[in-house]
Amino acid sequence: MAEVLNSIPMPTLLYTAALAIYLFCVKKFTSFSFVFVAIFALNAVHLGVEYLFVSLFNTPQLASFTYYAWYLTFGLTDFIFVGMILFWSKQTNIQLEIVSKALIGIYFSLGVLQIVRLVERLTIDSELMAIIYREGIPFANIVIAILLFGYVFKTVIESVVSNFRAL
Amino acid sequence: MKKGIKLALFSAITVLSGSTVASEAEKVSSTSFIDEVCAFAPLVCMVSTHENGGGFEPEKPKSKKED
Repeated sequence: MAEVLNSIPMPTLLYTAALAIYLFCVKKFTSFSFVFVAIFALNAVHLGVEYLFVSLFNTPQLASFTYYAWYLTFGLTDFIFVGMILFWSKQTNIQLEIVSKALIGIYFSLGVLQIVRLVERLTIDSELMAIIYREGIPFANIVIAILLFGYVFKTVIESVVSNFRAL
Repeated sequence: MKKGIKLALFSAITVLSGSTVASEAEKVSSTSFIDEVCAFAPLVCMVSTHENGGGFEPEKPKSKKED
């Protein structure tokens, strides 16, 4: 069992644990839990895409393909993620919490950043935009993690307080 | 829907302004803004997602004229 746990990356374990704790506290399926699972899936897709493209970088014949596909794949998957959440919310008539709205707003911005950077790199290719891309994406990833774990932490505290009052 | 547009705009401005601050930090020091954040709070970076390529970019393909 310990060997199996060791083979799973630490962030994956932490995200799974956070989602399990959140579901245990709220005891129902909320828009946040749907967004959390969708982010988990998107993270897996993006990691897979990144490994695939990085492995193709050494193939000169595919240089142009990987160059365009890098930005377009990340951008389009971000837009699909946002569209999927909004569609699901509309279909199920479940209102998105403020944190879920903030998360899909960040993903929409990241999708825009990918497409804007591709167009900008093909035309102007400024150093400022390179820095914004290089620093902005990890910064957004950190904000996403803070929002996810912060909201789970807030829910746990609220659950503990309400259970304590009920005693 | 209007709320969604406002939120997307707010998020875009937040991410871009954060990145602009990062670019200013880059000018002052050779260490990147994210490296400084990770040095200050390593746990945050450890649990951070690694999406959208993590800010990495492929090299521009060489044009045939260059070859």
